[in-house]
Amino acid sequence: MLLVGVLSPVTSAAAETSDPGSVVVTGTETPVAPGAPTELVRYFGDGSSATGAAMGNGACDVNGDGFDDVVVGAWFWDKAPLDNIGAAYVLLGGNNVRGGSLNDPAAAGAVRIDGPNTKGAFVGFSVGCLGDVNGDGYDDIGISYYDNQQIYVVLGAEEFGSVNLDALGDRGFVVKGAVGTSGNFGYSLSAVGDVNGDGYADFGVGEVVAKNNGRTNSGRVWIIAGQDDVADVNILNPKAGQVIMTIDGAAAQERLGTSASVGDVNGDGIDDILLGSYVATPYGTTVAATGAAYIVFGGNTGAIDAANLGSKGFTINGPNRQRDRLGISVAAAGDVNGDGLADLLIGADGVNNAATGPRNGGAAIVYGSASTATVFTDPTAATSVYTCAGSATLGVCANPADVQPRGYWINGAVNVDSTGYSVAGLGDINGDGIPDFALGAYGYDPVNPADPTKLMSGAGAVWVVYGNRTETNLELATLTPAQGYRIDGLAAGDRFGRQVAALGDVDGNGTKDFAGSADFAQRPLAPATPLSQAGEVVLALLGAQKTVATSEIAPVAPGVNKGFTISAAVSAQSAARGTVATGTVAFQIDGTDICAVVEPVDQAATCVIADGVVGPGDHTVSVSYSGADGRWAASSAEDITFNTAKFAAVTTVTVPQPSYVAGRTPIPVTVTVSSAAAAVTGKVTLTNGATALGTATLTGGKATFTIAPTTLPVGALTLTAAYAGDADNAASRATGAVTVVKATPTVVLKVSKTKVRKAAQPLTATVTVTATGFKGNGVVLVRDGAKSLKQFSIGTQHNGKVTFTVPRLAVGKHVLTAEYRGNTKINGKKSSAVTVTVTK
Amino acid sequence: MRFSRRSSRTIAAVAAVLVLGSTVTAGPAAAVVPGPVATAAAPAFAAAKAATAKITVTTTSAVVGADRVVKVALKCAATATCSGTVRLVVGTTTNAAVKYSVGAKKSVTVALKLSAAQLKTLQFQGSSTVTVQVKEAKPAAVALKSKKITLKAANPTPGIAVGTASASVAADRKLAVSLTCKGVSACTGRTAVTVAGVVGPAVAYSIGTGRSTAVPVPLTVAQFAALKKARTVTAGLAVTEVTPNAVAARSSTLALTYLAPEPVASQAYLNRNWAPTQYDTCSEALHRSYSVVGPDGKLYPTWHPAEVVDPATGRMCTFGHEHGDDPFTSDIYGWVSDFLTDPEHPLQAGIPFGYVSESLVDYAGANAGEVVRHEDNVGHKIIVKNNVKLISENPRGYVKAPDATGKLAIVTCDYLIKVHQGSHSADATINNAHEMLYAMRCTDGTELISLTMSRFGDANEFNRSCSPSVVVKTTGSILPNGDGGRRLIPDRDCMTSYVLVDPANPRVYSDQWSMYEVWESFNKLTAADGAVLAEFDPWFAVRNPSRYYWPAKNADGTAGLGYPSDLTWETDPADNGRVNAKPWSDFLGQDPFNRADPRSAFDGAARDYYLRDTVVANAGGGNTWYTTPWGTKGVSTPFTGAVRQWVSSTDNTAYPSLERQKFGHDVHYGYGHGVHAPN
Repeated sequence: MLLVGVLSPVTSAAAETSDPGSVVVTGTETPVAPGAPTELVRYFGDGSSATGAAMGNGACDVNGDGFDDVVVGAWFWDKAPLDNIGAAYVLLGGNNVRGGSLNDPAAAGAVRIDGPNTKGAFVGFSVGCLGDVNGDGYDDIGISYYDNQQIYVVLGAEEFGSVNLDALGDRGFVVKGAVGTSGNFGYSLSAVGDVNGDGYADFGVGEVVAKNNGRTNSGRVWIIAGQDDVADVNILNPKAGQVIMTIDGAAAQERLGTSASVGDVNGDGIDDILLGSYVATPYGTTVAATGAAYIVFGGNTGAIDAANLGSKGFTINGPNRQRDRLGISVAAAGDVNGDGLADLLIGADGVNNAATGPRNGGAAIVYGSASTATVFTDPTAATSVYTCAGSATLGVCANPADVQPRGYWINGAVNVDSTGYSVAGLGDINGDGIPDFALGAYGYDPVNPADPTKLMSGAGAVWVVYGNRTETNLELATLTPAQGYRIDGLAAGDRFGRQVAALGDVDGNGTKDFAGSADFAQRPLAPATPLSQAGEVVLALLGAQKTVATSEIAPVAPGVNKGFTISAAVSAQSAARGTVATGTVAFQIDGTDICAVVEPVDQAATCVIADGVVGPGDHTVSVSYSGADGRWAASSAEDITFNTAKFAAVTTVTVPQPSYVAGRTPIPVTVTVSSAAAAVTGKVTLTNGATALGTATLTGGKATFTIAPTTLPVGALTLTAAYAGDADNAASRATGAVTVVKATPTVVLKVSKTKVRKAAQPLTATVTVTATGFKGNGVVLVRDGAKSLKQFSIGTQHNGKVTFTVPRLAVGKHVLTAEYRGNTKINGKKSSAVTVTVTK
Repeated sequence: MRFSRRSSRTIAAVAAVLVLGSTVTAGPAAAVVPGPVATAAAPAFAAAKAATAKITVTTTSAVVGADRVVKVALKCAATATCSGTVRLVVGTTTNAAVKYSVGAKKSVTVALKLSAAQLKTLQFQGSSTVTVQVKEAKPAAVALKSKKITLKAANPTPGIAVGTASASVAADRKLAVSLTCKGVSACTGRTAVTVAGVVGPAVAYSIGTGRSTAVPVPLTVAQFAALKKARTVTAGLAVTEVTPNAVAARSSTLALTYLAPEPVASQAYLNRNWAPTQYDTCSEALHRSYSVVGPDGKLYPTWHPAEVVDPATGRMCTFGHEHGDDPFTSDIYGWVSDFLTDPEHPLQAGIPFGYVSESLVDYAGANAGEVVRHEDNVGHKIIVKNNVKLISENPRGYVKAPDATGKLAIVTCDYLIKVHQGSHSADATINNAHEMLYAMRCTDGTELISLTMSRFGDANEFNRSCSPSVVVKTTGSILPNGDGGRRLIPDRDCMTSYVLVDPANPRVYSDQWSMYEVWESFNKLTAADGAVLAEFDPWFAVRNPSRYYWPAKNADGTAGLGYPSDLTWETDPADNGRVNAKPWSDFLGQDPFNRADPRSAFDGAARDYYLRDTVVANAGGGNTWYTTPWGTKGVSTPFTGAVRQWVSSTDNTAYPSLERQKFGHDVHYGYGHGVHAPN
């Protein structure tokens, strides 16, 4: 239950410092400065759990939901009746990141992975996001159980939930070291990418007090291969390929145990690994706890001895002044100097000592290089990070002219701040094109905001330092807003800054975030009883917070030229993360600004549209929110489309005469469409029943049809004019009446002779039927008196005229007539009589 | 056609042609008779110079309805009007003649009429050949001219109407067919049912006009068997009417449904069912509607959501308790449900709650010294876990076996479990037996459906959850001890040690995990000879039980209980210990509330479980075993109180010991559903 003597002692810096309070950021500032957090979201652990004593560094999406997650260790967590079994939390990213008590992980949006059923297991001393170890598309995490010389690899999953570390099932595997030894396998965990190129992410495991090469406590980092299996990995008897590389400390007692993949330091196209030996003594054991770091170039495999890197990498020595502990933490810095090579961020938390003086802690920025020359550090020198072109003795170049800058030093603010105990490269968070850093200073004593005359001993702080290319040392004690800012611990003894971690985009706003932790924080602060060493994790959420804009109109279907109201609402994507009170809401109708841009009040804004503004037709209402002060991101409501009622159009059909004779003259039909609109456009279609007569475009509200004289059938007709409407006018139709009557033909009978001898027959005769517009086809009956003499048809091929042979007639007089029987459009008619006399 | 003297053979041929109706001729009436044409009876025709008839009968057949009218078409071929008379000769009866008059070159239809008797005869016969005789007066007087035509009786309007389109048939095999007499007089006739091609016996009916009767039509044994097998069939119903209209058998369809006997309510349904408390908004009736029929044909409660829409109100209501996972989400639900199906009630199958307890009653009744045990409704909890990969414990790794295709593959299993796990009463502190359905099916062919009274350790004791090695002795149970396993249950000591903590010490906090309740089962199905057919050992845990054991709370010191939610407002008199952390701290400063209040964090709904080995040793054995409710004495035939089990004919004893995988770490079935103790 109790934390007893397992962590470095913390002593108060007392009030000897003056607080550079101008750079304090609490996450509530408005406007939000570039690079500053928009919000600080806090999670606190169970009592005496030391939640946040470890955090995974780097982007990590364990459930593939597109929101990065945060891995946190709570190595003192109790699970009654078992004390200190330890636990790890995964704080799940999402739209609703909200923080809270981790006693109920689900309520806080987290998953807790309990330590094994073993008292004092202290699982979670280190945790890490290892990348996609098994190649299933989900990032996987590592949890240390270094007391048992093993780590758990817990596999990510779409439904990421807790897992029983005693029986991982298909959710992971164990990497086992030498149980019973004290190498502290699992001291650190790091993602190193796919070192062996097999498609699975590999990972580094620190064994900080490993003894190899005859060097006690020299430390080792193991590079273990990822695998798509749940079979445990035994590093002492590994299967082929399971252990890709080991990097051993260069000397006894130097405790090589931290590692990080830092990108391509030497420009060979392969990412390299940075390692830290925080109590290395490169200048001899009489120069205590100098610390060192090593770069091992990517592409190497097998056993690597830091004492003999040769072409495999290079060494960075801590300052030759004792107790800076360079390498206590290591991280990728990004390309700080813009030379295309990855640079290094190496923490040096420093240990105060009466003999060797105060140590504020700090960090070295070391530029990448293909050179394998040892890099020296000297915080007191103008060029604090350098190599020597020539020889060097105890970190001093033989010739001052040989000093070649390789970076710079960031010096902690005050003695025993332990600045640099944790470091993280944040990337470029302030938009200046240079990557920035976070340095944890868990021993920092910030001013108590509630009583500025007092400091909060050991509250701790996280310094955010903007990268620069001046290659000059940076003093955190005099940090200016242009250089960075600080986030302070909330209460004395919190040890905020014990860990810092660069994160992915936890809240999904497109900006990466970072976190700091206070493993000794006593929480909750109020109203419940605070529990000591509960620990707290603070997510520093960067970038404008996502907002959600919605809108509605009332009435939902405005009438033409009628007023209506647009109501807009703007809220934070996460309701738990504040109220949108700034920014502006803009309204548009059909792409045109309307109403004044207004600030939301109570997260709402209204635009009232007066009568006469919005005419008929289709319309689109758009509402957009523009964030302000860098706190709230812009958002747009889903467009609302509506159609106002169109003008009623009145259509009339006019035909000049009530009736027309078929075939005689064209029939003019005029269609007129009128409305209250300024103009009536569009087309009119004229039909007779189901027969289309034509379509015409309105001109000046009129369309005229000229119907061919032979088109319409005979009879009383109803012509229908259909107006299709236009953008402003509704469709309408009307009818008009017209009667088409049959044409009356002229029927003429001509006989070749009117007097003929009987023997001279037959005669020929011609019948001609003519009617305007027609050829007079139909049946013709030729009679001799009342007697039918001949019947024939006049087809269209006859052009209304048929010549025929008159049947032989008897002697006598014959009165011949031709009777045209008519057709659907021509009346029947009888010709004048022709008398034919037949003689013997 | 010009007539002339012909031989009788010739006449007969002509007559035959007439019957066919394609030719018209004239002839004496005697030559035209209904029925077959007599070849020897044709008398001589009239004189050769007889006038040619101009009237022609163009009708060849006619349908006669209830109006008795026979419509005959006549055509006048003359250029002048044809007139005369026309009549029917039906059999030996010559009907009255009807005058006709047809314009030149025109046709007309003349309505002749049958007598009622003739119609009845026609209806009886269905069709008949009659003769149409035409006597032409104009334009020429022509003797009778005959033509045979075929009359068909129109379908008569039946007097009887069937009022049954569907019916249920119970074990008495009686089917009631509703018939209504709409005839002008009483309806008589007979009806019969055809099921699956089997025609049943005809049942006569006699129904007064205007009345309806349910005519009992029994199904034959074969018909009933077919219906019972198919559950529903479309039967044929034939109804023949004798009076008032002679109507041949008319067929209609009848949807028959097998009516299973009403299931008998089990004890679990009748006496141990749920009733709403002051915190619940669902009705008892609604809860009872969630029921199934067990393999024994009895009615049992079953799973339901914690909240449902009350059909009576259309609004959500809560039962205040939950039964765990939705069994329908199990990949093996159908398989298990089928196994538990009562053949009489296949549509009411599901997961019965209390079935093994019910069997135990029968078993105890038949076996002296046996005990009975019934459990409450809220404690029945379903667990569904699909696609569990089996993991070897040491060395860790996937267990692999040939799959259905013979390819070596990771063995994956689906689990559907129902366990009674009440953590709200003193029951579990003394009683070790709890009903459990344990069903699992794996890709290697391993299958098991086990229904037993599972024993979690021994009766009259439990192990202290916060100190598992401590056995707490209790009294009051008569249940037999188990074959292994145990029950970790919190007691007062856990509360005073880990929950009621020193308020002055911020380094200690109230730890809910001290009351982590785990029921560890160890189960065997054994044959009568003692051979172990299957072994399995799932564990079931509750993170927030709503009670703990506190014997001092009872005057006699037995089975007394304390309640975790009450600790919020309690001070340990021994050391002034108090709660100082969640979930209790959320309510500090508030007025105390009842432990059954939904606000309490202790409702038994936060549960997880552990799955490990399922060892099956039944290679070559039968799949179906009947065991005692304790899972013992398995035989292949049922006996009184036996419970049917399913064991695959496989053997996986060669598998390595498996890792005990834990599931449900983050599951809380009660959040937001109004769940409260007792649950």
